[in-house]
Parts: sequence; C-alpha cells; structure tokens
Amino acid sequence: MPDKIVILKAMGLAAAIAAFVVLLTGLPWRLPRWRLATAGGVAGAALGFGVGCWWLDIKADWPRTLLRPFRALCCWWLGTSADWPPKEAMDWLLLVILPAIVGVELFGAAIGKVRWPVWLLRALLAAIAGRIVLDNSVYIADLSGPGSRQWDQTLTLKILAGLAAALTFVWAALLLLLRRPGGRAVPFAVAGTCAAAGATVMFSGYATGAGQLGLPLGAAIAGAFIASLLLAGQRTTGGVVSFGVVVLFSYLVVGYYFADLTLRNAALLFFAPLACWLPELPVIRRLPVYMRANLGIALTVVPVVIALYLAHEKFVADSAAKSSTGTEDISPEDYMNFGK
Amino acid sequence: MRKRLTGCLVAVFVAFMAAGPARAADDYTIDPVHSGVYFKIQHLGLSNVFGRFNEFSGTFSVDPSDASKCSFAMSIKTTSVDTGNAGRDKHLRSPDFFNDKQFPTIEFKSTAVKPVKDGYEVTGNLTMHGETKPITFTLTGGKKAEMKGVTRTGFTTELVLKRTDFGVGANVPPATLGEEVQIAIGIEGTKK
Repeated sequence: MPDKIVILKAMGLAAAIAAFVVLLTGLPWRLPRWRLATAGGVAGAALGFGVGCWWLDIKADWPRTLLRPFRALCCWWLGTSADWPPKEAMDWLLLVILPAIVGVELFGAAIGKVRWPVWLLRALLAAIAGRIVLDNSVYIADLSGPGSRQWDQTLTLKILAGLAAALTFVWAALLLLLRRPGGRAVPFAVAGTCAAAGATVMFSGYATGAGQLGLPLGAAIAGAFIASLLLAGQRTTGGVVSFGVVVLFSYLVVGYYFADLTLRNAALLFFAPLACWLPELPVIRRLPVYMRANLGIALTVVPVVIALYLAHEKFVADSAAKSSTGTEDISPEDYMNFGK
Repeated sequence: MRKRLTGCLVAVFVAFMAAGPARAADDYTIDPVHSGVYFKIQHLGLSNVFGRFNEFSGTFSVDPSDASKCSFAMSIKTTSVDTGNAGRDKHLRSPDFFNDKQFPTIEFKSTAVKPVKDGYEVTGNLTMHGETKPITFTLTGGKKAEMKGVTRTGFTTELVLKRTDFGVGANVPPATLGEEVQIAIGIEGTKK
C-alpha cells in the first residue's frame, strides 16, 4: 500500500475543503439559501475529492485540443498530458462521469422544486455510466483483432442494462430515504462505504494511482455532510449523496472489470448503504430518529466490513504466494516506502 | 563497324538477361516455437527479475538487396506475461502495470530499415499501454536455412526501454522497480 500518512493527509484535505465550501455557500448558517447550499454541497464534495486526488498524485489524461482553455485552469489539479478519448477507465471516470454528475446536481440545485428534468438527467447518466467506464476494453471492443471482444452484442446489452438498473435502484432508493427523518444517516453511510471501497479496491490489485480514489471520495463526502449539519433548516445533502453513489458505482465497476475486485465484494459495497432502509421497517420505525439513524449506520458497517475483511484475506494469501519461503511477507507498503 | 555494333548489342542483351527479373522481398511469418521475447528489470536495486511473454505473433519481409523493402511487425499479448510466479503475473496484468483488460497487446511496426554490419537497423513505432513511441534497435542475423522444404531465417536483438515512458507501473518508485527494462528478442521466421 502507498504511504498511510500521505493517504491520511489527502483525506483530511479533501474533507476540509469540502466542509469549507459547504459552510461558505451555506451562509448565513441560521438561514441558508437552499439552492446555493445544495449546489455548494456538490461543488464542495467534487472540489475536495479533486484536491485529495491531486495530493495522491492521481492524474488523468486531458484532451489536448478540445479543452485547452479549461486545461490551463485545471491542470494544476489533476496533472497534464493530453489524449482524447481518455486512455483508461479511471480517466473516463474522472474526465467524463465526475463532471457529468456534478453538472446534473448543480442543474438540479438551480432549477429548484421542479424535479422531473433532473430525474431525467439522472436516469440518463445511470443508463450510460457503465458503458462509459467500459469503453475501449476487451469486453466490448476488438482490441486484439476482429472478433476478439469477450462479450457479444446480446451479452453486452444484458450486462449494461443490469448495471444501469442497479445504479438507478440504489440511487433512487437513497434519495428517497433522504426525505425521511431517518435518512440523515445516508450521507455518512455513503461516505464510509466509499472510503472502505477505496481500501478494498487497493487490496484487490489496484494499489497505486487511481486505485486509491475511493479514499478522498469518502473523505470529501463526509466533510460535506458534517459541515451541512451546521446549517439550519432543510437538508441539502441530496447532491452530495448523488455524487457519492455515482462515483462509487463507477469506481466499483473499474475495480471489478479491470482489477481483481470480486463480484461478491463489489455487490456488498455498492448495496451496503441500502441497509439504512432497514430501520424504516414498521416495528423499528417507532424508535427515535437519532436511534434509527445510528442503527442505519451500524447496519451499513456490516457488509462493508465483510467485504473489506474478505479482500484483505485474499490479499494476504496472494502476497504470501509472491514472497520467498522462509522470509517475512513483504507488503506493497514495504515496496512503496523502500528507499525513503 | 557493323560487326562492332552487333557485338555491343549482343553484350547488352546478355547483360540484361543475366540480371534477371526484379526480386521481391521474401515474406516470413514468425514461428513462435523457435522465437522468444524476454525481459529483465531491477528489483530493489539488488538483482534482476526475469520474465517473458509466451504469446506473440508477427511477420517480416526481408530483401537482402534493398533494405528499404524490409519491414517488421510484431504483436505481443500482455496477458501472456510470465515471471514464474502466478501472483506477480496477476499483478503485472492489473491496472497497476500492463492493464491487460484495456491494453491486451504490445504492437511494433517498422517505419524504416537500413542495412548495418551483420543485420539491419530498424526504426518503428512501439505501442504499449496506450502510448506509441518511436524506437530504434539493431537486428543481427539474416542467415537462411532450409528444412523439409521450408525456408527459415532469424534475427536477434537487445534493447532497453523505460517503462515509465509508456506509463507501465507509473506509480511504482524506481527505487523499488527499475525504470529501465532490458529486452531480448529472438525471432525465427518461416517462408513457404
């Protein structure tokens, strides 16, 4: 694993920047302007996430000509070099999906109470997110010559439809839960799941570079959520949750299809935040709101810890196979810190 | 005078016939059984880790009289990387290194060939991990042999590449894994 101190600093930076933006756009805190605060939540989470990635030296390939003016502004954030279309799946996530979800949620904050246009955009993004991440991969492209793609057209449609359905279901369910009193735990559950997903993907053979992406993501969402608790009145975390769910989904798709993340762990992580719905069952609903919220977080922790544990055990087993007999196991962290 | 002119014409005709028709380059297909792609890279600055690619294919054309008609092309499957350790090979195929799900092959195609002592100097484009860069190396060999009606020829080369130039293991510190990768390739081709 990469340096733990560097990772913790990146996460702290991500959370602090997200919180700062939320508090800034939430002024005055006793009577925040709902639309601005909502937009601030999304922008804060995105900016915190971006700065966290920059701290971890996670670079994406920028288009050389199409976004040249924008590149000058953003190259300090994510690094330079330019190829279009993006080279790897993580580049698609950072260059296309991330701006798309930020744009959709900022649009949602801007249009106010008319919700159907933003739901239409969310449905569209959910439908194509999986396809975007899998672009130019051995699954759907003839990279090794004609007919070499692994999925035929029918299988491709089935898998992409399944991914779209899963994302739509989880996304809608969590936003619906946010409207209920017990739904205040949702942003925290999503934040924790994102951070755990980061560690799980790193244990699953994507330890360096963009493999660490889940950690600043979780920290940024947590920072935005905690700051939003200081704002009085209407909850403004819908955009933050949407941002987290879509990026988490894309990240897990990359981990499963390109790294060694198992389907079981990917499913455990992606559906874990839905555990926040369990305290809404008829019997448990009688409990006080704060107890239901805490119970929701506790229930989310269960599948997350299981996934993390299974990934860690597999990682330890694989590392033992790589090291020579009679010597102490050398971890990737030992490698990354060698010579420092 | 007439006899001298006739003699000159005959000499020219004979010389023309002796030259024969223009020769085309010989086309060969790489025989993977008698060819190999090997590499070594420094580990912790102490010694080298050795590996190879087990699956590759390619073609080349050789015209000993005109090097400009020679060409070389090769495709190596990144999924076939083999360092003798299954866990390490799986990690090499992951997005941390070759990312075989997005870049399943390493491709080389020559753009210029010129003759040198005992072989050819070949310049071409190497595409690896989504990056295409020009490289130049010297191929030594070119002798022919015939066995069971099949003509064979072969070449060897050694070259050094920087893995970071192609984004392979870009986040792995050089102190852990050397930046330079030494590569040795031997190709034997068959012509029908």
